Parts: sequence; structure tokens; C-alpha cells
Amino acid sequence: MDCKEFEAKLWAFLDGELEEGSCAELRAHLERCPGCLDHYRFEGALRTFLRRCCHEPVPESFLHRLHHLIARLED
Amino acid sequence: MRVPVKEDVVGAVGQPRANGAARGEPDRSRFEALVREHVDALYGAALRLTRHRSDAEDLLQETLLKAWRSFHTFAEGTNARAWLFRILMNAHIDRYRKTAREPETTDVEDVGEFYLYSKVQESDLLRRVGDPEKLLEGVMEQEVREALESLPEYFRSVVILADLQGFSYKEIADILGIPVGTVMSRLFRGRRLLQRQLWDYVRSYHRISTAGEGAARGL
Repeated sequence: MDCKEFEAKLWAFLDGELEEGSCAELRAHLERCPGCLDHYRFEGALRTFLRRCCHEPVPESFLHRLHHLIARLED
Repeated sequence: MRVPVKEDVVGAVGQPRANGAARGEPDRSRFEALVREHVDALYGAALRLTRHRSDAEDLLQETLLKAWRSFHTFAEGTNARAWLFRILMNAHIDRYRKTAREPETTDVEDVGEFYLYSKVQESDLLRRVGDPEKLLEGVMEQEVREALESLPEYFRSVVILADLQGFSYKEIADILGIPVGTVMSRLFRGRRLLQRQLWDYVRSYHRISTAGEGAARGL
């Protein structure tokens, strides 16, 4: 596997969507290619960062309303 | 949080409910427990889908009403999160179609191969900043949300479900009612668009001129 092939499968690999055979090939490539290892780590960090930035719990005011909303739901 | 135990399940979902029969409090409290478990995730997705707090709350409320109406069809032990997200996405699509002003997917420029990482490498930024996460720290949370919200609807939904919610391709296909291949093409294209948008923010934060990519300007 070369870097181009690695890159093409990187996202599916991070998504946990590759079969074990492909995963083993990617892991083997990662062990001998520092550049792709960096890229792999970067994509992972980017996803963590994206999740952190978008993490906004539902407002307290809505949670208060939620209980009343559910209590009033029609049977 | 109350986790429904087996005893609750028997009878509650075992037989179809006769029309008009009272649903009773156990159903209601099971529903409330389920909603509370997933409400933050649903709200987070609703915010990025609608881009506005009040719209997100309206969408969430509508989702819960619809979920309650079909709660009797929901089989305990099946994927509750995917079930709730399917209702959320359908409600969003219904609302969105009424007011849609966005161009069709085909009108959106395909950025082709685009990796933020490659851009960073080409610009020598990584060597200056040290590690990738430090580089991302320069981008404001608000900018990241805006970048995601700037994606066309088709791509945004899939990126939200995959990258924020961690659904599998198959689950997303079921939630949106589209083939897995379509999920993948929208997801990958959406990610490229998102990374290109983020690159603009990274570049402006680290003051790299558009003309001189590769020759990073000193601060």
C-alpha cells in the first residue's frame, strides 16, 4: 500500500468502516510511514476538535419545559 | 436516569395497542427517560441543522411530539438513538423543504481532493506551530460551527450524523433513507468542503497570505 492508497481509505478507516483485512494493511503502512501517521493523527484530532466546538447541551429552560411537555402529551 | 428493566417491556410493546386505549404512566415515564438520555445529542444536531436556537428548540419539540405518536411502534432493545434521529431528520427535511433557498447539490463546486492536513504541510505551518492541535486552537469555536453550518444541506446532515454523532454509514443510510454509497459520497465531499472552510480560518488566524501559500508570513 502506498500513501495515495492509504489516503483514499483513511476516512473510512477512522470511521471504523473497513474490513479487518484492509485495517491490517493500513496499520502496516502507518508503522512505516511517519507522514501518513501524522495525517492520521491530525484527522483524529480534527474530529475531536469539531465535536468539542459543537458540544452545546440543551438549555435548562428547555429541560424544564420538557417535563411539562411530556406530561401534557395526549394519550 | 432510569433505565427500563425487562419487566417494563413485557406487555408494553408485546402486543399492538388497540386504537384509543389509554397509554398510562409507565409508557410516559419510559418515554421521558428515553428522551432525557438523547436530548442533548438531538439538540446539538438540531442547532447545526437549523442554525438558530429558537428554530432548534421548535424542531426538537416537534420531533418529540412525533416520537411520542409513534412510540408504540418502537421496539425496546432496538436502536433508540437512530430511531429518534430518523424522526428528527424527517421533521427537519419537511420544514426545510418548505423554505429551501439553497441551490441543488449539483450546483455546488466539487473541491476534489482537499485535506486540511496537506494544506498545513505545504504551508510549513505545522513546523512553526508544533503540533496539529495547537494549530486548531487558533480557530474559534464559533467559526467551526459557522463552517459546518455553511455546508449545503445534503452534506451537512451526513457530516453531523457521522462526525458529531458517530453513526455508522449503514445507520445514516437508514436514518436518511438513502443508499450507503450516497452516504459515503456526501460525507467525503462534505468533509472536504468543511476542511476547505476551516483552512480559510486557520490561514487567516496564522496570517498566511493567499498569494504566498508556502511562504508563511512571520508574525
